[in-house]
Amino acid sequence: MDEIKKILKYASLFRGLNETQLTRVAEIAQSEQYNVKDMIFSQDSPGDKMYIIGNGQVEVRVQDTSGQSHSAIFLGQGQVFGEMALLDQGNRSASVIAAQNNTVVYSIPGAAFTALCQQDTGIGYVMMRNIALDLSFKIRHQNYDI
Amino acid sequence: MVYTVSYVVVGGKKKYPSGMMNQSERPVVGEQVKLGENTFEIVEVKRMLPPSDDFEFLHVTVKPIDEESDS
Repeated sequence: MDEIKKILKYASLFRGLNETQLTRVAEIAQSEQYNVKDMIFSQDSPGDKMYIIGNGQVEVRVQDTSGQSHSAIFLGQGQVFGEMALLDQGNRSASVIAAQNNTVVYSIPGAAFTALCQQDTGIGYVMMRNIALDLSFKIRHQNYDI
Repeated sequence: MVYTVSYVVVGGKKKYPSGMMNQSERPVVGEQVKLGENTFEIVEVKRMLPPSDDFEFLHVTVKPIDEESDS
């Protein structure tokens, strides 16, 4: 539990949550470990979790309309992925694979996350604000990466 | 302070994928960073967004180490 909270504090997505709120989020997070090239989720699959990287790096790969797959970005410790599908209920927009051995991610199931945000609207407000800021940061990053 | 860093490679994403990660040390020009299997050298660091709740948001430009040694 302490390890998960340590990572949550290191991820900007959870900034502004107090200790009690972080504990509640940590309670619904599960640790998953992957080795290099392991698939975490594939493009177009249903999205039911978001992930926080605790250790290692992941590679985000996108398949274009011609069927070619290309590497889009590497994400490291403290970064979050898979959050879009929790918000819009859509399928995964990219595949994510582990880029290093012993990559550790913490998954948060969408249903449990939504229930927590509804039960504790303080958590809900902070999380929705932070998800918006996180997506804003990612759009700004993309604008630089042209 | 936690630094949320956006890494972009000189020349754009068609050549090398970019990266994003959080780190406890502020990136410095001249340091090396590994994105996937490739190692890059930091050539520019600038603030992307104002700091918030002990987080600072930075944009970093990097260049491939291999290209430097090739030239």
